[in-house]
Amino acid sequence: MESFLQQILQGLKLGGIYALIALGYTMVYGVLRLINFAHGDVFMLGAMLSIYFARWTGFGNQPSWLGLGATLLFAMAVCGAIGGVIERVAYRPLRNAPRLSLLIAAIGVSLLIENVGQLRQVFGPTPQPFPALIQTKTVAQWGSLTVSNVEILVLLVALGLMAGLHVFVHHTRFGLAMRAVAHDHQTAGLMGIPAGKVIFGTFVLGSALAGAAGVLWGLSYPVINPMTGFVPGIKAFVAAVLGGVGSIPGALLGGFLIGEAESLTAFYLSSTYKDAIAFVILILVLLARPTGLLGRKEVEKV
Amino acid sequence: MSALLEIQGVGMEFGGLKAVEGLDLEVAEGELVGLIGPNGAGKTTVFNVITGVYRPTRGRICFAGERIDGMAPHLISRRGIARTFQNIRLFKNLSALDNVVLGFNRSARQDVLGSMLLTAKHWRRQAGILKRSHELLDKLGLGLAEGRSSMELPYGEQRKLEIARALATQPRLLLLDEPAAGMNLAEKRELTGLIERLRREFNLTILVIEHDMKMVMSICPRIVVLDHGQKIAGGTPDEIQRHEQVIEAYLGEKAPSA
Amino acid sequence: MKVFWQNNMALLVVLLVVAAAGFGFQRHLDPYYYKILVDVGIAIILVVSLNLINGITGQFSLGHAGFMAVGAYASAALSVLAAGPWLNGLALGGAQKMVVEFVALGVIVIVGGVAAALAGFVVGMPALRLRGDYLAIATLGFGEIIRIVFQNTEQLGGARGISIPPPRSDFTGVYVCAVLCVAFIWRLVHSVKGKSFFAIREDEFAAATVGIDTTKYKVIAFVLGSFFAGVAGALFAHSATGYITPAQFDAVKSIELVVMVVLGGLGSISGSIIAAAALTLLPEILRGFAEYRLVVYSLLLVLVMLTRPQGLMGMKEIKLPWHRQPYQHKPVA
Repeated sequence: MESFLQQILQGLKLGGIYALIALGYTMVYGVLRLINFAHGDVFMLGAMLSIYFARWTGFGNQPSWLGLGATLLFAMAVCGAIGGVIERVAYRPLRNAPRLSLLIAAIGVSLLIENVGQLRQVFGPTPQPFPALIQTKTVAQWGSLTVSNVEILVLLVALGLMAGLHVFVHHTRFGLAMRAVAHDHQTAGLMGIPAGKVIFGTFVLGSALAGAAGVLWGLSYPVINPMTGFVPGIKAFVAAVLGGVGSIPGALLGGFLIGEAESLTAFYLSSTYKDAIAFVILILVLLARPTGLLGRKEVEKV
Repeated sequence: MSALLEIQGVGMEFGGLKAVEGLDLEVAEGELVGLIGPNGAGKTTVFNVITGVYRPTRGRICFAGERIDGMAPHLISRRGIARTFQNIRLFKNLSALDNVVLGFNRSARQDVLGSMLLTAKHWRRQAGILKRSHELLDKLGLGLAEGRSSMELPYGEQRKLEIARALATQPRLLLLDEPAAGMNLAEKRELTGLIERLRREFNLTILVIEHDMKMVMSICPRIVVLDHGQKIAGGTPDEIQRHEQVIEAYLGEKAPSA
Repeated sequence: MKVFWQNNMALLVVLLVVAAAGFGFQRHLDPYYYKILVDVGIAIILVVSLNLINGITGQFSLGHAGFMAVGAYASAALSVLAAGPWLNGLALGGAQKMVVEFVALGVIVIVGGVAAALAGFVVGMPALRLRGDYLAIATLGFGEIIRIVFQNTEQLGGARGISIPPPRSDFTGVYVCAVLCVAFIWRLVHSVKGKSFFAIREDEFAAATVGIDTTKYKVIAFVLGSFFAGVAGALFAHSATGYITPAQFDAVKSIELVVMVVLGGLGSISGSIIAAAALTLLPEILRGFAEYRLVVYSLLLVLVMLTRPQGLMGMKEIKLPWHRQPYQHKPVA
């Protein structure tokens, strides 16, 4: 029983991170109908660049709340900027191109980040240790079930950011514009909403969340290499699809479900199957309910 | 006279929005019927429901005595209904000839192995379809354009090519969605003649959506008027022109005599 | 019968030339170049068959490596369990051995292809209901599931991989398959009914309204594409190395194949051949390039999308002078 609860806890932590990444997928898909393949790699950059930041500032050597906060802010800022640049350079020129071209460009950007990162002159292919930004402590214990401060922290930060996003989307002008563009691209444009700026802003926002997720990932699984983003990226996308692409609460629900499914599969079945379970869920969802658990049905216009 | 197309109480809703409501329409074999109405009246939705793009939310559609509502589009096409589109939907990157050849596709049996081995039988079959495609293009005056990709053709020829592609499916009922849109006066006149000629030559029944009232009035012996998804009038051009509700529906839009 | 021979004479001549060249190359070509040539041949089969799905029919599969894996492992199982021991038991020599091994390779390759085609059917039937990016991600998922299953199948070596006994896929075997693959796919999609594949890519809905059963054609494209991916997988498994691991068929491999299709031109078969050959040769020609290979690929992919989204060849084809077409267009006056 305790080991079961331990797995549930593990799944919650993992799920919180997936949910944060999934938000970026879901928001971008909402406004652009694009699976932003490079999103997982932005997440990796968040983790990777934080290593360098912590090394450079010395936060990595002295665990402190200040160091953690600064690193988190740094990762969010730099990833937001990267996301914006990617949108400007690679996606904006294709705004009127077929959707497939956009998808291929996104795959290209993803490959580019991964492979440039693997060059010896950049990050190199070998995994790098993520610094202990805070000291890992056990904060609660029931029998063999232990809860560490990292787990609590990851969950709190993830939930806090999601709550912030919710407020932002529902109570600001930009959030309103974002929802309008997601609802109907062309009409929003006709109503005087600057769709281009909204799309750009959505990329920045989603990428900043991915950056934060990168730091949380680093705290939990402290080994990062340039390919780290690929698999969690796809799983987070699966989470977005499971919850219903375009739906923010859906991303949250999907993230936690995938996290739990993976954690329990690894424990009860085999850890080699843990990467397959997300795909199995993906395919079942796509076939049985393509709109996801909380998604809206889209009427296809002919 | 038995009806070729029978639409009974058909309704089409999109998330609460009623695009078509309680529509009854019968088209007899050999008729040429005009479907008119202000923008957003639901005319194209009627075509989409007939051709199986949408499954109607209410009512039934019969073609030649068989129920077709809810059938897949390709099966409806094979029963003998063909259409053109308001916004031309040709296979853009394919040649004009290929567009028509594709229309003929149901005349040939699928023969994957034959096409891979280029057997004599397969070769003969293809030659037959090609001959008919050439003839059809010539008939529509597109013979010289056949090698060019369809998106390079002038607008008027694209419209005609779409009709040619529809005819290649050997339909009994042809649905034309604003065939004269964007054409100049001379082209419209030619099109009017063409529709009449094709109708006789191919024994077609035609249902046509058109905004140009002069043209509709001149070629269609019977006209049906839609407004807000409902049929508000039906009759000869004269009756329609005098119909009060019709005049009302068009007020604020351009006058029906334009 | 006369028409049949006229239509296929050129193909027959090409196959004979391939066989003769294979015989010569085996004796006189440096093994290093020989191996590269074989790799190019396998890449051509993979890229042309993926183009049938992604380029010509306009569906977007990101799981081609998974079907290649099915072909590779099915053929490996056959060789390990039956064909290898049987050939060994025959203890043949000389010309007799050559002929028997060639035939055995043919059987093995077809088994690999059929296994992959079956997998393609099982995956394609449900997945092809999805459109565009959703299909892409679903096929990526299927590809990964296939790989993970092989990784956990200890009878087939699991993650360590499995070594495969002869027969070996030599130049002749690979290029006979490549020529047949190209010829068959070309002839299919340029036949009167086969134009339906292009029509679906151009406008799926308009295709349905002219009576094309779009689902059927999408499934045909997917199954046939998977068949040839399986053929390529079987040839790959039986190449000189004689050793495969599940990691060779991961998502990166699938994406690499997509890169080749896109660069060659979505819909252009000759473009696919050129791209497959060029991108297989490039790392070999440029020393030290290997490290930058994927960087260059990804950069090319983005740049091509931004500047020439239809790929290098677009839908255009290079046609050979003796290419026999079922019909000629009238010249434009």
